[in-house]
Amino acid sequence: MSSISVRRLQKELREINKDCPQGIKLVKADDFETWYLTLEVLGESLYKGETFMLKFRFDAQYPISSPSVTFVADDKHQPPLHSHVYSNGHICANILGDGWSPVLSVSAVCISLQSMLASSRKKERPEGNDRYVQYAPDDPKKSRFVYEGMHLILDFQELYFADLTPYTVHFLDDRIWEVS
Amino acid sequence: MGNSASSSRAHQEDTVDYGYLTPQGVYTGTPDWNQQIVAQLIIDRRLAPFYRPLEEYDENWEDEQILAARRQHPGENVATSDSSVRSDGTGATYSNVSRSNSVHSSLHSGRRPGALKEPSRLPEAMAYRGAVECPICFLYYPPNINRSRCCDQAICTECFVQIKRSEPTTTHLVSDPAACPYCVQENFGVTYTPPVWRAGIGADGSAPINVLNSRGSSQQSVEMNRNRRKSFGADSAEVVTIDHIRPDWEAKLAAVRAAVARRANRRIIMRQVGDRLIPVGVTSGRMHPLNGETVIIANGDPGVENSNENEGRSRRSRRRPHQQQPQDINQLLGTVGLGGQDLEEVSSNDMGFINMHNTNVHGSPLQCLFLSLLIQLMVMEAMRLSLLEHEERQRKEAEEKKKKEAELLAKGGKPDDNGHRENEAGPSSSSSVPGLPPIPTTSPIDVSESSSRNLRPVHACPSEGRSISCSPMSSGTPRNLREASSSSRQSDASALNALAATSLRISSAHSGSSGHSRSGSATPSFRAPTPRENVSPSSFSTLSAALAAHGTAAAVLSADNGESSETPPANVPNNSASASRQVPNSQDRPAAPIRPQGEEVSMSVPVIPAQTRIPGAIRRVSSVFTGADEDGGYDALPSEPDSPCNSPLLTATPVSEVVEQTLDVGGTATTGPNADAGARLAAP
Repeated sequence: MSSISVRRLQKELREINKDCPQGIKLVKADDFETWYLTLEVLGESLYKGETFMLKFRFDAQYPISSPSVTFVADDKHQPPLHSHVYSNGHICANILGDGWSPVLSVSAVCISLQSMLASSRKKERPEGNDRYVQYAPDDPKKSRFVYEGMHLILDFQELYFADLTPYTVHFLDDRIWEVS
Repeated sequence: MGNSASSSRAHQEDTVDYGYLTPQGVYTGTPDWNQQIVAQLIIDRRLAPFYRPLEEYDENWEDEQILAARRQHPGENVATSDSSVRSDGTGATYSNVSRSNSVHSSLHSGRRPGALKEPSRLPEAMAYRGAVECPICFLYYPPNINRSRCCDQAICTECFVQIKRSEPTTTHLVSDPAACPYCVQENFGVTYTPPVWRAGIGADGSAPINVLNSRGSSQQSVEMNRNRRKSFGADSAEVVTIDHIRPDWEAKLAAVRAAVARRANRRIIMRQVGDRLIPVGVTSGRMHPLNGETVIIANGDPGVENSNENEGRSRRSRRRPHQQQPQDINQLLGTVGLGGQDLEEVSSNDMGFINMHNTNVHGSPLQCLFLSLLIQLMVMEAMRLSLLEHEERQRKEAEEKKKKEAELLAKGGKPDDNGHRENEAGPSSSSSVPGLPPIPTTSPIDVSESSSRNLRPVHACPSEGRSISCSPMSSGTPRNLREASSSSRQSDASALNALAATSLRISSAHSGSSGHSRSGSATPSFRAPTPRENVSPSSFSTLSAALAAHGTAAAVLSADNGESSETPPANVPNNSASASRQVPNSQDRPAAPIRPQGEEVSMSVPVIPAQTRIPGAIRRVSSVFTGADEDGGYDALPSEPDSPCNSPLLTATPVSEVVEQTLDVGGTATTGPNADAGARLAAP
């Protein structure tokens, strides 16, 4: 018996193959853990003509838990220059964190990101990008972004004494840091 | 594989309208809802039963096709459902259910077309007529499944029970109600309209409903659902919310909060070695929350101090009669003045911390984080150091003890709490006289009670000692406040209080003098109206503990350096205004001194004398002090907006600066206060 995530993704895959939203293309979905899709911003926008690669990672609790979604940053692909997209491809978007709902899907996320880019007025990296990128965990879900005003809520109590367990604290900048 | 008769019997007994009382394995993982409540809701027809979903559905399917499309239960499912039942502690009833499920599944998985022809099964298929897809799991269910109360969207029971409040964590001490996955309205709940017919539990008689009936009625109920226009409030009688099926969420939240409080109540035990303060351990958090921050001087063996020991000691100290306290003070002063080898314990309670968090103050958490990190660093460092330093410390101690009174020397060979403390009394460098009668406490009883536990020396200090310690204290507080406010962008009260409290603690640690007079003078400066106001729990935060700890070290250092020999201005202007000042420098704070480079915290701090660690800050601070003294104003605090201590704050390492400054105040107090200034301060 397959898990709920596989079942959901099977169906989503079917849907995407049948009727993919405009500007979004499924590139690779060999399993139900990692998918790659490309994304283009349609119409007039700062990103006209650019294609970005998105990487989705799903855990077994998907869709109850959100997928981990990043823009691919490698030789061939660069994440879009956007104030909510770090240069390592991590995206600060509410729907990928607290705002996730199990009703959302891969294509819904793609469409949201499309519109996020489409509404961008200025091509720039988020403040504190360099430090974030330097210390960011691989999985953006482990970063705690705070969406309103993009301020970070600290996990400070977790750190507190922490039973003398050594913790690694990355001060990414004043807004973003990560504890592992 | 059972025969069909027995299986259909079990079916009727343990199912509701052809659905089940327990999950059918759509989700894996341990259920965290109250299965008993869920089952009862299902039996009461207030929640849709756990139907076995269809993978697909087509209106044109025959009954047989419908049943064939139902999800199959492989053998593993039996174990799953069994264990889930057990983990819920719902007892034998449900293991019966799961057994019957397994009977069914084996029946179905081995199903042949012929087997489906039994008439008794067909009503079951009828229940699925007009199946709807659950938008979350993408599986098909009978059309009458639950509907969201707010936006009338279908949701299967399997998915419904997965939706829950945000788990309270030690970092997020609230349990946010779950929002509707569809319309994001808070307090997610569903309504359920059962079919007009009944089958299984609660059905009249044992005969299954006939096909005709079920077909008609299920259509009917679909119509009803589809026509629903009204949305229900979360508290409507017909609504089942996710809190209904997890009645223990509040208890869980309380448990997490208690755990955090307990943790926050721990103390760090510090040992002073030469010019360093070495954390040697952490106490258990079992003490009930104090209203005060405490600083204990204790002597102890190197190594991690046993928490019981500490608790015992503090209890003892609380009971201690006043006469003994001067000794403690002297000992404190002596310790500080000598840069002695005593162990200092800085403890904090975290109530303020929690409060800060709950009031959504996010500016200060950063400080808290940073400071707690500092603490931790120190703790880790201590682990290393305590071994290295053991020998040297022992030697020093022996030297010190030779100078002490013979009676105390008896215990001196191995530092022992009381003995050591008393030993320290003699050599205290301050002018305080052992044996002076305790001064009546000016501060509120509350404070003294709570703090006396740990702040023994402070509690009843001789007038002289008190005045001495006072002066640095009172002058320091406003300064600290300014720093605090400047460093906290949001300048929230609790952060300020914490900082202010810290300064108090610190000075008490060093001067060993007077928590009380201090609290009297310091409090008003940030709390404005009432002098002698009780220091509220919020002011004793982790932050302050951390600051105190750090500060102590720095203070000791600076004292040793002799850089801060001047007594800071004496009079305490009421600085309530400074609290509200906002200096936009908080951005840089986290960048502060220790940024572990992705390694374990303990690794990143080289074990070097503290003075070399932060020489810049200390020097800067002390220079500030000196300048102030030269200005000669006891009542004018040196922390004018443009004073040296402020500008670096904006750019470099604000947190550490605050800390060091605070400490420095304490440090100066210990080293240099002349009796004059102290006396002046003593009588505010």
